Amino acid sequence: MIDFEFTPIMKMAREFTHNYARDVMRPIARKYDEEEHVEPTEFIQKTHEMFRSLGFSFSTANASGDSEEKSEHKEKHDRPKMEMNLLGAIAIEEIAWGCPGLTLRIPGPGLGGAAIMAAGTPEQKKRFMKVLNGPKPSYGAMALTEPGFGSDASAVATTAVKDGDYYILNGTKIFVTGGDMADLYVVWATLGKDLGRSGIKAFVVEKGTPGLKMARLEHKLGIRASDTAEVVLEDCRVHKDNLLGGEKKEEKGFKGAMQTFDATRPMVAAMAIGIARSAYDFVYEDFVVKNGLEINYGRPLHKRGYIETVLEDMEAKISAARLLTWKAAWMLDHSLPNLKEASMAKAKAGTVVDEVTQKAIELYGPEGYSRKHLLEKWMRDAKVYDVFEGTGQIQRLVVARAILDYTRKELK
Amino acid sequence: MVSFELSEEQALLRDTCRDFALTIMRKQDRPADESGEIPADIIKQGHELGLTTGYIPEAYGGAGGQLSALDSVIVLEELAYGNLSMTVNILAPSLMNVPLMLYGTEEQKKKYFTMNKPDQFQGFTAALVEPSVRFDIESLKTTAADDGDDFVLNGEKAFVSIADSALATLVFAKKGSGEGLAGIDGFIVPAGGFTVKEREKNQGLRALKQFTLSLDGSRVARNEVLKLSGGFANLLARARTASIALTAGVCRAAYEYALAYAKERIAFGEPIASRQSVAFTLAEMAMEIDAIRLMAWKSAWMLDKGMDAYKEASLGKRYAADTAMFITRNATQILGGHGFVREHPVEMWYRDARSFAVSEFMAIV
Repeated sequence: MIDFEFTPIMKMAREFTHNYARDVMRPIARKYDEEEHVEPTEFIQKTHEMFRSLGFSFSTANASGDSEEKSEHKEKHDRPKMEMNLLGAIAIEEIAWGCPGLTLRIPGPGLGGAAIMAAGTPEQKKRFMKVLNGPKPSYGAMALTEPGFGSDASAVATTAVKDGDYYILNGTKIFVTGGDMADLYVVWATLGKDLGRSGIKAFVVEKGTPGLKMARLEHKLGIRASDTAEVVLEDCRVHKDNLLGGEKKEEKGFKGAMQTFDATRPMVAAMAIGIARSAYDFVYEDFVVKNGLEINYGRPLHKRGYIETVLEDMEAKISAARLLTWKAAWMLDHSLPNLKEASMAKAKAGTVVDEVTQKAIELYGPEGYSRKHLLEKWMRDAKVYDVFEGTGQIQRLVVARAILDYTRKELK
Repeated sequence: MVSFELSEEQALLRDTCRDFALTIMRKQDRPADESGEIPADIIKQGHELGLTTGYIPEAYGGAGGQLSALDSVIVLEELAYGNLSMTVNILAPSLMNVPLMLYGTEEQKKKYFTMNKPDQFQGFTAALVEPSVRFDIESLKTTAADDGDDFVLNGEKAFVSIADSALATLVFAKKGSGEGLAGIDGFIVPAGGFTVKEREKNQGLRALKQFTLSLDGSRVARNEVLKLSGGFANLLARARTASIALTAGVCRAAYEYALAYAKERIAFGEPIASRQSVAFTLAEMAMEIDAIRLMAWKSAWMLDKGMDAYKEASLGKRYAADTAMFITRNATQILGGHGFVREHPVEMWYRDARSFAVSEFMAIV
C-alpha cells in the first residue's frame, strides 16, 4: 500500500540529526571550509560518540549483494530488517544540510564498508565491520579511481600479483575520500589485463600495511572539510583472506564494485538534497520569514513575482529529487533490484543541487556571493554531487541502458 | 511506514485501466482527434468501468467504495496514457460527484447520485474557468446574487467539458465580492439553465467537446447550492492532484513511443537509441515521469490522510506541466520529421500536454 508516513524511528532520526546539524555542524562549517586539510578532531570524536551511543551508523548495512543472508533473514522474520537505507537517506539529508564537507568526515564504514558489505564473504563482513564499527572513530575508504580513469572503472591498472598466500599490489589511486584518515582501504586491482572485467578484484588493505602510502591531498572547489587523497601502493602485500568475496573465480569482483553503488547512490542523492535544501531554506528565511514575501502556490503567473516562482520551482525540484531518492532506498530495503532507480535519484539530485544552489546566490544578490554567508560554499560543495559516485552522465548511461535493455556494447 | 508498493486491488485497477487505454482508447485516438468526436461506444465502455460511481454510497446506487485519491491517480495516469480527451470526457461526472460526496447535503446526494446510471453515460460536469486573458481563479467574475429563494447567476464560463450534453453542471461562483478562493461556492445548474455557446477550438484536446457558457440571470434554488464553506481550495487541491497524474500518463505515452521508435530507427547503420544524445534524453524523460508520478502519489496520499495538500498539489501541478513540455517536445524531436507529421501520435500528445499548465479542474480525485 502506497504510504509516505514515517515510522517513529524515522521521525526521531530526522529530528535528532537535524538538530545536530544545526547546533554542531553549522557553527563550524565555515571554519573547516577555510582551513582546508585541518582535521576537525573534536567534531569527529563528538559525532562518533554520539552516533555510537545511539547505535546508529551511516553504514549501508543492508547493501545489496547479500541475498543469502537476506533470504535466511526473510524466513526468520518474513519482513526486511529495519529500513536502514530509507532511514539513512532521511537522516543523511539532514546531516548534509548541516555541512556536506563535515558529513563526509563522519567516521563509520563509509564507502569502503559499503563495498565490503556488497562483495565480501560473511567472514570478511564480520571481521572488517567490527573494525569499522569499533569503539574508536574509524573509516572505510574506497580506492577505485586512478589517474588514468574515472568513470571507466573497468580500466583499473593497479595490479595484484599472487605470491603464495599473498597478493602484491602496485599502483596509484586518486580521489580517495577520507584517504588521509582511513583504517581500511578497499583497493580495486586487476589480476591481469587479459582477464578483462572478471580479473578486477577488491582487496581490503589495512592502515599501516607496508607499501601503502598516502601521497598527497587534493585542493578542491568544495567539501573542503573532507580530505581527498592520492594513495600509492608499492609492492604492498595483502593476505588472500582480504580479497573480497574470496579467491574463487566466480565470486564477485567488478560486479561487486558496481553493486556498491546501488546502495550508496541513494545516500549521495540524499546528501545532495540536503545541500539544495540548505540553500533553499536560507533564501526562504530571508525573503519569506524576515521580509514577508508570500509564496502563493497555484496563483496565476501574471499575479506572481519572479522570486516567488523561483522559490516554488526550487521546492518542487527538491521534492521530485527526494521522492526518487526515497523510492530507490526503499527498493533496496525490500531487496528489489534498484540499479535504474538509484541512478535516477543520483542524476536528478545531482542536477537539482547545482541548479538550486546557483540560483539561491542570484536571488540573494551580491551578499549571496560573499563568504560572509554559506550560500557560496554550498554552491561549491554541490558540484561534486554530480561528479563522484558516478557522474551525471554515467547515471544517465545506466538509466538509458536499463530502459532500452541495451548492453554496454549496444550503448557505449 | 513508507511504501511505494501498490495494493493488490490497486494493481488490478491499474491493469484494467491500462488494458482499456491500449486496446480501446488508442485504437480510436487519432480519428477522434481529427474528427473532434469521441465514439459513443468508447465513452459507454469507459463509463462501464464504474470509475465515477465506485465511491457513491450503495443507498444511492453506487458501489459504496471509499473515495480514494490514491486509487484515482492510478486510474488517471493509465487512462491519460490512452487518450487525454477521452479520459476527461469519461471521468467528467466525477467533477460534480466528488464535490457532492465531500460537501453535498443528503438531499443533493440523493437527487444527483441516483441520476448516475451504471450502464448509461449521464454526464455531469463542472464550470470554473472564465473566458478572459490571464484568467484569475482568485477573482472569479461570475457572481451569484442572493434573491430570496434563489441565487441569480451572471457571468461566462469557458472550457467546460461536455456542457452540451451534461444533465447538470456544477458552476463555481462567488456570492460576494473580494479576492481569494474562500468565498467560492458551487451552484448546481441543470441542462438548459444556461446558454451553451460556441464549442472551444483548442490546440489539443480536440476530441473533447468543451464549450463557453453564458449565465445570464440563471436562477439556482437555495437547496441547489453546494456550500463549500471555504472548501474550494481543497477541491482545487484534488483537481490539481488529478492534473499531475494525467500529466504522468500523457508523458508516458509519448516517452514509450519515442523509446520504441528510437530502437527501431536506423541511422548511420545503428539504431538511433544507441547514440547517447538520444539515449540520455530518453533517460531524462524516464526519470522525470517517475518523479511526476511520485508527486501525484504523495499529494493523493496526503488527501486521503485528510491533510492539506493544496501546496503539494499546486507546486506538483506546475512542475508536472513544465516537465511535460520537456518530455513531449523531446519525444517529437526523437522522431524527427516523423514527430511532426500526424501519421504518428506524438505531435498529438505534445499538443495535449500543453493543456496542463493552462487548465484547471479538468479532472478530480
